[in-house]
Amino acid sequence: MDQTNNVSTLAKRPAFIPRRSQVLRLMSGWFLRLVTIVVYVFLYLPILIVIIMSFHPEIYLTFPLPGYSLRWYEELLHDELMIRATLNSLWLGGLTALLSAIIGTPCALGLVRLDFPGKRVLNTFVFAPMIIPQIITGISLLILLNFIRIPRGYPYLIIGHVLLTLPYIVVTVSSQLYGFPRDLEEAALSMGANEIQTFFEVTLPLIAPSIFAGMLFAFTVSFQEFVATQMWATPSTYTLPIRIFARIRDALTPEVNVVGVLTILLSFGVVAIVQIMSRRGKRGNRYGI
Amino acid sequence: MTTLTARLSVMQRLRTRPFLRGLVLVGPAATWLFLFLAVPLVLVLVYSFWTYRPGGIMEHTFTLENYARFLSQPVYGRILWRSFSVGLQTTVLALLLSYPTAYYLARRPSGSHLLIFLILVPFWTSYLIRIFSWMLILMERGVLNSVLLGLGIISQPVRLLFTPLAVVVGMTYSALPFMILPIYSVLKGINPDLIQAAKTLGANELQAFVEVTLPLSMPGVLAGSVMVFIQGAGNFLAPAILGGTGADLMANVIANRFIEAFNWPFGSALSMVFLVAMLVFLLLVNKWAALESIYGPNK
Repeated sequence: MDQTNNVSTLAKRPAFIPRRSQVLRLMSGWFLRLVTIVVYVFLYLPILIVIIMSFHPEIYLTFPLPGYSLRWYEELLHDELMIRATLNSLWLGGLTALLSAIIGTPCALGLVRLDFPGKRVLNTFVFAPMIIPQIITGISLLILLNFIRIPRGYPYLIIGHVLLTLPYIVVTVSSQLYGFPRDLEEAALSMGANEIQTFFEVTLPLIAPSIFAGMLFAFTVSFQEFVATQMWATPSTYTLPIRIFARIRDALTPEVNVVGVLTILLSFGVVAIVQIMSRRGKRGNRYGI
Repeated sequence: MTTLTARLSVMQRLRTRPFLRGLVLVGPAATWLFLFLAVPLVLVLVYSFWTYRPGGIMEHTFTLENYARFLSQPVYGRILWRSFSVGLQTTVLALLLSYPTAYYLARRPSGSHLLIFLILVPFWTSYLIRIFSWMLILMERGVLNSVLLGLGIISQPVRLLFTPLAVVVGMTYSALPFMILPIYSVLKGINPDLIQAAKTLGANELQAFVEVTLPLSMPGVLAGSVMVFIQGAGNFLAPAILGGTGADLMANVIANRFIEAFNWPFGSALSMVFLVAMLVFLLLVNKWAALESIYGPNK
């Protein structure tokens, strides 16, 4: 009697436990999928709305749209202020990316490969421009350059944007250096190349993709930075985001959306290029770098 | 000939002295950071003790007036408090939405290259445009009001833009990629054998998650939260575009002292208070998190 009872409870148990955990797993699976779908809709609905509203035919942004037209795409082509700001941002971004790469690449090499006094301090400090609120970076550089009597404008923008983009170059390049095949350099050295030859003929070509990716990110950051830049730019040196912000504040038209569409295309292109590059090379880090 | 020997000796010196080599490599970046970030921050501190005379005149005489003003006028304390509060609200909301998403992406058996790509695009898209997109949604004749009117839920357009809620929604939206990516990358790196081991030892799905996965994913949660909090508390654009007159945060007030009020000493004092408050807060979080990682697994 006792024994049969025991057997029956024993027999029931294994059947019961999987069922409960199966229910749990099914529920958590549905929950996770639901949140994920909500998050993706949440992420892309506003972007979609920016794109749709760029085809608005009238001056005031209203929804639903009374029709569709390319009017504001055409107006942008004749908007001298916006074009000048765009060109300004383009060359500022390019110069920033170049300078940042020239300074940042050796810095990443030093931080990854060498030991020197103060390395830990520098390692933290390199990322300070990412962590300190941009407004503080903005006003502090403004105070310094104003203190030594340099008028606001390009010097501020170039110095400041290199400062703000340096961490991106260092992160990108050092993440590739950690998985770097050192034996190739040793081979070059043992075959009679000096260190400078080795650097330019072995190391540099191998880390070139990450430098390029870092430069793309530096360009993107510079091209879109607003908060610190507003402290450095003057009306004649307005960058694109400063001009867009002024329009949002004072004269909002669907033209802002057209510019928005162009910046979305830019980030789309940058991420796509870097992803394709990193898929061909090694696995990227958490920022897809 | 002399230049050649000179060059050789420089190279030899570089090779034999790692310190010099380090200096050559990191020197330019370190100089840049020192001259254009460290020195300016010290200068902000100095300015915060200088005297401001009405009319935009600044005297290089020591005063504590700027800090006294921060303490005596409660509005500034309130704005500092609001900055922290908005930063924390954004962090919590972003975390609640991001963790399940990151978990789902990390546990997907098939690859999630495309899904990650779709997180990266907004990560690199202009912050200004992402905040602006919420203006289109929330404004009086915007998307949300027109949808709600169309569904008959409301009969009059509701005021959604220029509210504190609009600021938090816009910030949370912009914060999502910054939260999802670090959590995803940490979750992806957790050895699945550990979770399997917990289950073999009798833990169910939920227990395995709470006891194994969650503690191991804390570094990602912390990294994302710190980034999102800093971005939220120091935010300028969301209050400026989506917030009403009373929505200003520290960044807006500081910017205003420098651009419109031309009271640089007081602006510098506000910056110092804000920076120190942020640093203290982050150090406390860091300490607490470090304790957690020491005692956590033994719970």
